[in-house]
Order: sequence, then structure tokens, then C-alpha cells
Amino acid sequence: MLGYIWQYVYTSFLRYWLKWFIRQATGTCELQRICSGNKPGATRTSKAEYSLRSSKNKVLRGALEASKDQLEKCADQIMKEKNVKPQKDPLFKESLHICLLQITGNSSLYVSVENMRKEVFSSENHEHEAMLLKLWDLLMPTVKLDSRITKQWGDIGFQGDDPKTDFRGMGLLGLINLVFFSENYTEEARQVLSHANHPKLGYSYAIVGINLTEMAYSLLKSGELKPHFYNTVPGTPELRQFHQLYCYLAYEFDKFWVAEEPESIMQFNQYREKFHTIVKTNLQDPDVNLTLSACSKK
Amino acid sequence: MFSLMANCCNWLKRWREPARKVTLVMVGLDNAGKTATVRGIQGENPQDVAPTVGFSKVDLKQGKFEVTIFDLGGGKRIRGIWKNYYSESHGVVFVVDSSDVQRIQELRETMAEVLQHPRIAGKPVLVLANKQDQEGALAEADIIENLSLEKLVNENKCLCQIEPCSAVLGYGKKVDKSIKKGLKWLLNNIAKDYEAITERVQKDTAEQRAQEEQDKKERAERVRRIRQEREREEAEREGRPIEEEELDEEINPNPFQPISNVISVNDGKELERKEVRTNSPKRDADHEEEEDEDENDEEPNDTRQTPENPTAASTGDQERKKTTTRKLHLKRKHRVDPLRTEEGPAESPPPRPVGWATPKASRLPKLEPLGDSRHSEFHKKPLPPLAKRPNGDSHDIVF
Repeated sequence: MLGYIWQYVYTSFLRYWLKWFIRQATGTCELQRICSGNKPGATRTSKAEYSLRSSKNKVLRGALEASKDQLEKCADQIMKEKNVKPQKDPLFKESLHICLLQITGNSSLYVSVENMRKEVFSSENHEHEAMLLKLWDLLMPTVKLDSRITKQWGDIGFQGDDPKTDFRGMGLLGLINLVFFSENYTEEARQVLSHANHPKLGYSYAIVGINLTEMAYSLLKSGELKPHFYNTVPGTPELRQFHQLYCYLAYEFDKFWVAEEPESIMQFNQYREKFHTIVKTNLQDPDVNLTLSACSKK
Repeated sequence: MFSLMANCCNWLKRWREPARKVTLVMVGLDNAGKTATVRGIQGENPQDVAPTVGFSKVDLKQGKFEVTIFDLGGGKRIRGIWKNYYSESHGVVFVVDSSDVQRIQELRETMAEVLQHPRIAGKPVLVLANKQDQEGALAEADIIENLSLEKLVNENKCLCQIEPCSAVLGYGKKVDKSIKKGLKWLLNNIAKDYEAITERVQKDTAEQRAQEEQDKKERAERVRRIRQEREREEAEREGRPIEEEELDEEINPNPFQPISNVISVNDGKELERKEVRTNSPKRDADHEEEEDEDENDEEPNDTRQTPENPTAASTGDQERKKTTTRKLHLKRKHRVDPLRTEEGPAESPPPRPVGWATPKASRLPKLEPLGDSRHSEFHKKPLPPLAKRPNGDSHDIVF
């Protein structure tokens, strides 16, 4: 209870007084202090985001919703508003611009990911079909698919004879992630698949992949992925970076699963939760970087 | 007046009755809508569900019931595992994708398999004909006909109700009325026969646990055998001297060998000394010895090995096991165990047949070899720490 009162008092009064005070003393505004005091990455961007979000100034808060092209102008406006002289602090504008790109990029990334997820896999769409067949060829280069609807899909971990129903929930996003992983990290993907086909420790590669896509998606949705993107992408995060994160999850989950040696696939959800907690703990670290450390990186 | 009071008492009794714990299994082909249905009942959004890998366990309260639902994955390769969850269940919810006409044959076979399972037959079954909102969805009657549901239900003495529904239409309070109705029907039917079903559940679960234990052991045994085979081959390839150890191995695992065999290897004095000893300490020494070896052999299996439940295994299983161990011994003869060479004859285990003469064993002369084979069983596997191991003698009594 006391904590709540303190928080209320702090956010609505003390913080502003404190800011004003420091501003008078040092002659620099809060954003400047954040940008010069922290090295680029999650710490700086998160602090800047908090500062902008709790600002009373419309220009500052508006910058969070601006589109990508307007951000440069926003940075100028903020400097004017805050009376920052470009000559005095030449690095400030660039840093602020990057922060703004990162902050707004997160929500725009979510929008594009969500759009991709909403797109339903359709057998009539040739692109979708081609992608599905490509997935097979990438994972099973030596085996030919007998027909479009075949039991063979089970070998790469789909549930039925026609994979299309397995894309429910995650839509095309699930498929694209699977293809991306096998395309850009072919060695790793095949290694993971071979683990997944282990007679005792095996799991269903494809539907586990779709479940991990769901995990990546929910992490993005809740904003828990922000520090990762702030650290790894100096600018707007693109879909590609999201797919890359999926690759990390797929690879790491496989490692985790093999190390834990679960009794059977039935324990999947239990271990999924465990893995989820591990990932979330990693994301608490301000220096987090969830990139697949593999040699075949493109 | 009195009857009124009695009634009141009854009500009170009923009111104070503790919540009944009911377990349901949710089965059906993949993409039937099992998880969506559960989510709807739970009050979560049933849309955008990813395929279930393995199963998810959901607890919820429904009226006076504490319901646990095992929402099992419907994938083809996972259906074989469904049966592990049957014993614990009071009832079954079978979800059908009414719009998937193409897979009706597969559905029919799966449904028959579920209902005919001895651990399901006789339990109440709710069939949810899901996806009625979709075009071309089969109506209730069509599904009954296509699945020959009536025949199936009568043959297996299952109480059955079919409800056409649509799981994605709403959730929480707005969940499809038929799902609610169906669930209510199922729970009420379980309640009517609650004691009997619970008893059956308990019995079946115990049986299954025992069976699982048994299977685990057999699996460990298989793994072990394969490993030994491999080791033997390796040894042969390397051309290591086999003869001296071969003899050693010969007596070690097999308690049923002619005593002459044993004597030929063991130094006579040693044998005599051991013969005078009582049965149990000898066994312990034996165990320890084997343990050493086994720990080296198969570390990874170590944790899986739990003290077995002697009541669990039926005599038939014992018989079978005996044959497997016999086979094994033949193979073991050729095995080279580097450890043994260093340990020397002093540590070589005492001849087992001596144990047969103990009074306790003689009480059950016919079963004794089985009991004993069980011990040799033990030797084949990594053992838990000595203190936790079930006492050898107690087995003899049980069998």
C-alpha cells in the first residue's frame, strides 16, 4: 500500500521536481543524460522510452506514435522543444533518432507479424504450396515426397497427412519460420530434425516449431522481446529479425530438450513452460542477445 | 414434520459433501477442436490455437465437481499414447470435426479403438460434433450413422450422448450451450455411478502403474542387452583375451548353473567358506559387486531404476522374464568386462545355487527359481543405493 502511494507521489510530482532540479544544475535535459550516460542498447532505449512515455509534453509523447519517415523530424522537434543545441551535443540527435527507430519499430514489427499470422495457409495459393514443398526439400533432400497428401509429412513432425491444418493458430507465420530456419541454418535445422526423430527422445519437429512460433509471438506481443531487439538491431527491427529469433528458440529448445531427456513427448508442455521461463529470465538481463550462435550465419 | 427435518438433514449433508474429483480425457483426431473446446469451457479465447504437442492438463470447477481434463494431442503418431490416460479417467469426451468428411474412415477407426479399449468400455462417453458452424458439416444423425455409433456404444456398454456444437462461437459464459449441456450430462452420469467408477479408476490406475514399472524394467533390460552385445563385439574386434574372464562371467550372472561349473572356476576353499554363510549377506555382497559393475555399464539408466513393486508382476511375466535372462546369459558369457580382471577372483560372486537350501526358500519350492530369477534380474540393472533396495527375502515370501 505504502509502495503504491510512494509510486503515485513519485510519478506525479517528485519525478518532475527532480528532473527540473537536475536540469537547472547540469544544463542538460533528461534525454540527453540518458543518451550520453548509457551505451547504446537496451538500457539506453528502455530509459528513453520510459522518459518519453511519461513526459507531459505532447511532442515527446507524439514521437512514440510517429511513422518511420517522420522520426527524423520528430528528433529535431524534440531538440527544439528541449532547447538542445546541436553544436553542443553533436551525438545526441543520432542517438535519439536510433532510440526512436527502435521504440516505434517494435510496435510496427508486431503489426507485420500479426498480419502474417492472420494469413491462413491455403492450398489454393501457389506461393503457400511452394513454400511447404520447399520446407520438405530443405529438410529431407534425399527423400522425394510421394504426393502432396501423404503420410510422409509425419516424418518432419506434422500431425496428419495434410500439413495445412497444423498451421491453424499461427497461420503463415508458422510456416515461414520453419522455412526460414531450414533455409538459413540448414545444418542446424537438420541436426534438430534428427534429434526430433530420435526413437526415444523424439518430438514432432514441425508442430513443436509451430508451438515455438507461438512462444516467440506471445513474447513479442507482451513486449518482453524489446530488450533483445534494442540490443541487436540499431534501427527498426524487421521481420527477418523475428524469424532469426525463432531460429534461436528452435535451436535452443532442442538443446534443452535433449539435455533434459524427458520421458516422452507427452511431457512437452511441462518442458515448454520450463523453457519459456528460462527465456524470460534471459530477457530480464539488459545485455540480452538471443541470437543463434552458429557458423553458417548469412 | 420429521420427514421435513430429515429432508433438511439430507440437503445439508449433500451441501456439505466435498467436491467430487472427476477426471476426463478429451480425445479426437487432430484439428477436431479439442483444445478450443477446453479453452471455451475455461473461459479463454478458443481462437488461434496451435496444435497440441503431447497433452495439456486443465483443472476447472464445474458445479460440485473438480474436473481435471486431459486434453490429448490428436496427431496420428500420438494416438498410441492415449491409452495411458484411460485408466485415470471417469469419462470420455470425444470431439469430432463434423466438417471433415474426408477423414470419416479414420475417425471411425479411431473412435472404435477408443471405445473398445478395456479401460474405456463401460464409461460414459460424450461425443461433441464440433464445427457445426462450417459449411457442409455433417448433422448429428449422419455422424451416428457414419460411425455406427449405436452399435459401438451398445457393444461396449458405454452410456453415450452426442451434441452438435461449435467451439469457436464463444467462450466463458457465452460458450456454446450444447457443450455445457453435454458436459453436464457427462458429469451427472459419472456422479450417479461415482463410487463404482472411482473404484475402477483406482484399480486400473494401480494396474497401469505396475505395468509401466514392468515395461520400464524390460526396456532397461533391452537397452542393456544391446549394449552388452556391442561391447562384446568391440572386444572381439580388438582381439582381447577372452578366455580367462569368460569363465568368470559364466558363474557371475547365472544362478542356475550346475554347481560343477562354479567349482571349476572358484577356488575350492573360497566356495566352502561361502557355503557356510547365511543367504542374505552373500546376496548383499553379490549385489554390491554387481552394482559396481553396472554403474560403469550404464550410468544414464541409473536414475530410472526404482525399487520394483513385487506384487505388481504376475507370474506369467516372471516366466517370460526368466527366458529373457537365460538368453542374456548366453551372451554374457562372451562379454569382456575390464573391471573384473582387476578385481580378481576374491571378489567373484559366490555360487548362487547354495541359496536354494535356505529354509525360507524351501517353503515354496516350486516358485523359488522364479524368485531367484528375479534376483538375477536385479543384477542386470543399475540398482538404487543399497538401503533403498527391496529386500531379497521378501520376494520369496510374496511369490
